[in-house]
Amino acid sequence: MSLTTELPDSMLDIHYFFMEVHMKKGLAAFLVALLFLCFTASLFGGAQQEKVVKLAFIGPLTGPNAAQGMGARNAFELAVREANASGKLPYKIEVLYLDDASDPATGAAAATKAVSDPLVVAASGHWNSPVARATIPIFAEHGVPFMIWGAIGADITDKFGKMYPEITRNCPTLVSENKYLAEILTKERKYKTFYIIHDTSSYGVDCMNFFKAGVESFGGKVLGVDGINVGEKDFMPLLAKVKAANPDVLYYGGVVMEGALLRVQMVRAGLTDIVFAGISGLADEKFNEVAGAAAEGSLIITPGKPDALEGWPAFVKAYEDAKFSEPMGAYGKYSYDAANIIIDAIQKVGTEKAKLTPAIRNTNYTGLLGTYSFDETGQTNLVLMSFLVSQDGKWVTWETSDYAAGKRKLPR
Amino acid sequence: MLTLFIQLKNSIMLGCQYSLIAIGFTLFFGMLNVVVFCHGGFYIFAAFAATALITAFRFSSSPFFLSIVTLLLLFTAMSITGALGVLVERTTIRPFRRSPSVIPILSTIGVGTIIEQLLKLFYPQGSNPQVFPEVIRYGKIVFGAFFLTRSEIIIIGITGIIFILMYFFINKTKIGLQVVAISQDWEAAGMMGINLDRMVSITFFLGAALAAVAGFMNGIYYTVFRYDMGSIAGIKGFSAAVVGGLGSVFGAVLGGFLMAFVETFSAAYIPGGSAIRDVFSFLVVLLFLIFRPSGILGERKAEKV
Repeated sequence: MSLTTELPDSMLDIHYFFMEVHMKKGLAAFLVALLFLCFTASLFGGAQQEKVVKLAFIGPLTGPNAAQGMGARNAFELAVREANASGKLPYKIEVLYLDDASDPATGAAAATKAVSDPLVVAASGHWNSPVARATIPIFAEHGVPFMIWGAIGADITDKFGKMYPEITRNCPTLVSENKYLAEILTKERKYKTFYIIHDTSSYGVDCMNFFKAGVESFGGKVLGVDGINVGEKDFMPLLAKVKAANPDVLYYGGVVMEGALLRVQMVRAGLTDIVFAGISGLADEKFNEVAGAAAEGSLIITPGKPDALEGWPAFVKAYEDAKFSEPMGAYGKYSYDAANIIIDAIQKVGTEKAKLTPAIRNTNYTGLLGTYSFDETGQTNLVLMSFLVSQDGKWVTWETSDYAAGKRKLPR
Repeated sequence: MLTLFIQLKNSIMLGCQYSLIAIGFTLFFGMLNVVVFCHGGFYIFAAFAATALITAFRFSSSPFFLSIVTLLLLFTAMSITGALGVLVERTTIRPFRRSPSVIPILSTIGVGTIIEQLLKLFYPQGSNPQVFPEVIRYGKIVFGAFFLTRSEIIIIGITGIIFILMYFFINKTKIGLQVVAISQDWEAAGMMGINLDRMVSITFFLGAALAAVAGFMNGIYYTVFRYDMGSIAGIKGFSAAVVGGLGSVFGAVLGGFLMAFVETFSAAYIPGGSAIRDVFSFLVVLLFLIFRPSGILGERKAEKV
């Protein structure tokens, strides 16, 4: 700076002082102009701007069941993208994605976050029933309509759905799944003896009770029942006991991690001539990945019977085109339909929560899987299920599998 | 009778893992009188390290070459975990050598949590169950209705070799004798010219490397692991070390097998036992704490004045 050499120190200070004032003035003028601009923009531009409405999605995006949660999240996202693109709503729908990590405490914190966002008008969520039990009261208390797409514990609608009109569930319960599995195994596959292993969570205990009741009502015999803890990994002692009992079928009521460990150890313990079966808790490609070659021939029930549906190929293509990095999982189709049922209700009655709640309860919406309506407990009347077998590391619909064609044989 | 044999085999398989973890606890305690609560963290860290290494460096499919490479990778995983053990000792145990004994308990619990959470956050898909690469192909030796799979034989073999090596290390090598000397009397050993800090580092390297072997075996045997499996493995290993007698390596081995036997047999022979097997194994720990707090082989501690 040449100034420093020309001016004495005292002058320099004054010079700087004025420069500063000048700059401050400039800054202030600029800010005022900006404020004015914003104000006018909000006056004129704001009227045309889209109104934003938020839905909350909550599920296990991390943790042991992350594969299920991410698939459902993606399908939910797909439904919302389609709705936004269709232009049928005067709103732009945004989704608040929240992670419950399959943990009730994490889920409750996430639910609290969702209900405290004033833009959130409805929510959908959960794969784990214990997490759903923790968040349902939070959503209900705040009057936020909450649709469950994947937690299948019986009491969620039996008990909570009865108590709170906000709660609905659009997927079948574990009661229907277990009954259906018991029926297929005893009547079609003609198996007579069963051994039941279940995890000691409420999900596992419910599964055990309903499967046992189902099998016994169809004339099957339960040789033994044993519980295991979630997070345990060594089932060899128990499997040696099962081997000695020699049942036709080993049923597992629980979820992927322990199910896959159990399946691997069945082979290791030499239970290769016993059929392994379960319900949708195992319906995840992660099971096949983790169990590897041992998974072959495992039998499960999943909700929905998509192969027979008209809209199914288009949905699969749309999901593929959206380039999600995770597969849709067993419940993706349900979270997709859940999003659409909610969006349909918003379209009909607007965004007021108090109006949305009855609108969702009284819906008669035809989605991907069929026409949904809800009974007085909030449980869907649409009950569809598929019977799947693990073949070459993938879950395949029984009817289209090599096993049904007679090319491969189950152990019994 | 057959089932009994199978259950014996099952408990031996479980015992191998518990003992390997328990040895670490007992070595650390013998030397420094601290319980290193992040030991389970070493164990699960090793499972992740081994998986990453095997996935990255396995390029041949020839079985002979494959087993050599796998063995080399096991040693690499052991060394990395050993180095982690040394690092943890330097940073979270050594600074508190003169502090009350509750301080290292807290600091190692902290480190254990940090190890777990870092694995969860920074390992790709770390919060999901991880599949351990198939390093041993399935095969079995049949004795009538009883059989042993190839991985079971290898696990028992490796554990046996490690036990023998540990015996020679402690009783016959100079370093081993120095370790024993330190655990008998820290100050006297120092006055005899033993480099205490160096010996402590060696012990931590060794203990963590043994936990790494246990983590590796867990991978081979169960094929699945998750970031949060370290803490329960650590608690089981610690209990085994206590039951066997903290400070005694042979006791840790015995304690590990005892815990495994109790767990296996309560799951197998008590109705509904599989859901509460841990209750029985920790009951045994409680009984020991009450009636024989020094453990199976622990020296009865006379009051030191």
